[in-house]
Amino acid sequence: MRPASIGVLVFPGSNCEQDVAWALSCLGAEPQYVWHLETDLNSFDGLVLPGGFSYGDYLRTGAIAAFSPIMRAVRDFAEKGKPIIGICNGFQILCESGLLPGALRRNRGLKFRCMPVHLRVACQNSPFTTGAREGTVLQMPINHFEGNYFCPPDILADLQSKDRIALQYCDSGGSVTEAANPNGAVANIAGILSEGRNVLGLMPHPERAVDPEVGGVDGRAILGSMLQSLVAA
Amino acid sequence: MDSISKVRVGKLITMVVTAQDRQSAIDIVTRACNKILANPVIEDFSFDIQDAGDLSAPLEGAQG
Repeated sequence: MRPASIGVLVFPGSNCEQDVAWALSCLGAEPQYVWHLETDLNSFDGLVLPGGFSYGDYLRTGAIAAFSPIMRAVRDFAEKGKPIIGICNGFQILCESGLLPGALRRNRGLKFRCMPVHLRVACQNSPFTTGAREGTVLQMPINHFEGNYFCPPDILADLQSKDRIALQYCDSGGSVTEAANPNGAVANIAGILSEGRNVLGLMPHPERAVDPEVGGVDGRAILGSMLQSLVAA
Repeated sequence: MDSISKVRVGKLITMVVTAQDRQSAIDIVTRACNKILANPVIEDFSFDIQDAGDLSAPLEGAQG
């Protein structure tokens, strides 16, 4: 059985692609960098849009990357039901492209947040959390100034009713509280799923939590689940 | 600075639009705002349109 082939997109200003590729390799996948000017993603089983500061966050974070040539192929990839994970700036790019609803605003309190957080797996079924059922508490780092997820009330109601909230900030006991919310995100949302459930956007960095040497392995629950779902498919 | 409150910072974007008439210019700018210049999920926008005048001079900021 051949390893999963995962495209790791690189925009000008992306800076987490090496960590993502390294994490995917640790988990037995074959990552490959894809420069944002490429237009063909057919050879890949899954995609990751990594973190960073694409286009220097000019205009709005993720806004210009959303118009990169590669994004047409990313849209097609999503429409075919293949898995895509957008991490941090990747999440921002997916929202600006309309592949995920809502937007990421500046953190409440206007502080850059670089710290480990606890996350509650909030959805019952997704290809990105098969290793961790609803209610599981994961820990991994966040590293952002614009992680404050916002969507209008009708979209929030839709996310809630369709089990599309993937991860919420919580305390170590799994309680979703105001105090556990590092950036003011509505409903403590740290990650959401697309309507087709094959696209995940999340602000925390799972690629930074796959090795006990760097503080934890809970990131494997997310990245590893995507790879497992490819094997099962 | 006790006399100052409710400070907000926004974005001012100036541009030259080539269009047949004022309404066409309004349509072009509105489309650009909705498509890329603003994110309607979290931002609103307003604009005014002035005659470009001497294009060799730098654009001034919009007034009011």
